[in-house]
Amino acid sequence: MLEISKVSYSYGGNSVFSDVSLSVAPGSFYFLTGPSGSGKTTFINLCAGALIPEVGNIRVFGEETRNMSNYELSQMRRRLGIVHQNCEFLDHLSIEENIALPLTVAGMDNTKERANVLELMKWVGLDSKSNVKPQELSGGERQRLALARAVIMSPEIILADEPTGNVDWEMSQRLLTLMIELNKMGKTIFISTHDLSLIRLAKANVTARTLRISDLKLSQAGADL
Amino acid sequence: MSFMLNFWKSLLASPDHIQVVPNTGFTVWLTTFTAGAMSFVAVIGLAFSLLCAELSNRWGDSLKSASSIRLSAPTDLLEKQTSIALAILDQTKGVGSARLVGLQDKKKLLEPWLGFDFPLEAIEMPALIEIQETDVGVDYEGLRLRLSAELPSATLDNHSQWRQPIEVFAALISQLGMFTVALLVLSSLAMVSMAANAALSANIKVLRVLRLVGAFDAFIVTAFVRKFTSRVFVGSILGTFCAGIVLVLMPDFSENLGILDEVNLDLIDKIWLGTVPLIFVIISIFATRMAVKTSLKRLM
Repeated sequence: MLEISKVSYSYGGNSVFSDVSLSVAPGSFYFLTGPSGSGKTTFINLCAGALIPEVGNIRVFGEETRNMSNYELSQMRRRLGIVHQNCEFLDHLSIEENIALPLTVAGMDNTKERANVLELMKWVGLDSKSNVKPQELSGGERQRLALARAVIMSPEIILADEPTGNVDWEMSQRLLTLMIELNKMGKTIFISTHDLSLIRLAKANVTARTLRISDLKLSQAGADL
Repeated sequence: MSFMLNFWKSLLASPDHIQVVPNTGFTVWLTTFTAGAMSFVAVIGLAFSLLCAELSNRWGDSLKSASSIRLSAPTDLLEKQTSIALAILDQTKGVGSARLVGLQDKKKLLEPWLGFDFPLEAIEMPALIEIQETDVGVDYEGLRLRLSAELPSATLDNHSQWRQPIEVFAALISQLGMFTVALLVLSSLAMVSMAANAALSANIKVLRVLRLVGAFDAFIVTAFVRKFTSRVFVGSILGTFCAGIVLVLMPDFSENLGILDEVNLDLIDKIWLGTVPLIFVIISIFATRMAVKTSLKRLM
């Protein structure tokens, strides 16, 4: 599903990681942790096709991101749900329209999919704010909005970069619960976070693996978390 | 090829493309105002260029086949000499017609300098014969020699002294007009490109979000092209309309200005002016498409 093979990446000669390999199976739950600046966001961007590795290959759904055209990358992103820490929306659209945006751009904005939008809004607890604009939401609500938008196309993999970075512990738990529910539906979840208590909480509810980026390498974290 | 096909299909299809680009912000006014101002200048420039072209053609045509003979003689001899001159011209190959310029024509000719009520008949005036050539052309050297032998008081003027410079000047004005129009089209392209780039810089987040949710490049390009082109079209229509009003309100050179008589825009010229908004739409599609594609490349 997601295969990373001997990947290296650097910014202007400063290596972020080198010779990193990983194979992610369908339906698995991964945490990616590491200190600030260790390359977690870069790793997520590489998996999403927003960056291309300098060395090595990344295969998503069997296709190498390096060889993909813009058209193919867009097609791939429709099968990925991406949530960033600083989630961005189209501020002139309502919450409902923002959640439906992936459907709109895919030309699937019909009545059946509209029903899914309303269901998703209820699922993330934003059903009472359907006509509100994103800038009127709190940090936690924005994260839930980003999650709803990320899953509207029923993606096979969800990549979340520090989704709980800007929210309080209660909201972190709520977001994690939503992620666990998605994983139980068969979705592959890949979350980068530096919040170890969140990882511990997840491990109590789901089989999750934890990876750590440090010293340019990716390694499996032990039970000491 | 398939990209172009999708682009044109989506350009004419779904309204979804429109809603993803915000309506608000200074860029709306910037784009509309730029298109309006450039259209105004383009219409005025094009109108003057077309008028200059017509004027230069008229100058060229009127000078190309015209010449004159001036007879200076005492009044009692003038009529006889005029008859001789007309007879010589009648025998000269290449002369289409020869006409004695009458008192009323002379008055009209001198009216700008002497006024309409000047008693021209009270003073001695030389006789003036206006000659129109045929396509064959007149042998002016031969005619001059014959006139000097038979009518020493006659002076033949085929306007050669000032015909050529005026023809060159007229052609130059016409070429300058065309060059100005070409420059206007290029500068409009640059202005619309700059406005599109400014609008894109203000909407870079929209590009990022659309990319994130899996929008194809064709969708993003079409969304921006449709939005900007509609703004450019509205601005251009307004600019063209204002320029049209200015042209309508221009004073009418209809009488007594010689070469400026009835210099007006004809129907074909007006159709040309009417195409300015369409030209701006084409410029907008081209410029916005380039700008969005460049921005998308930078995002990659």
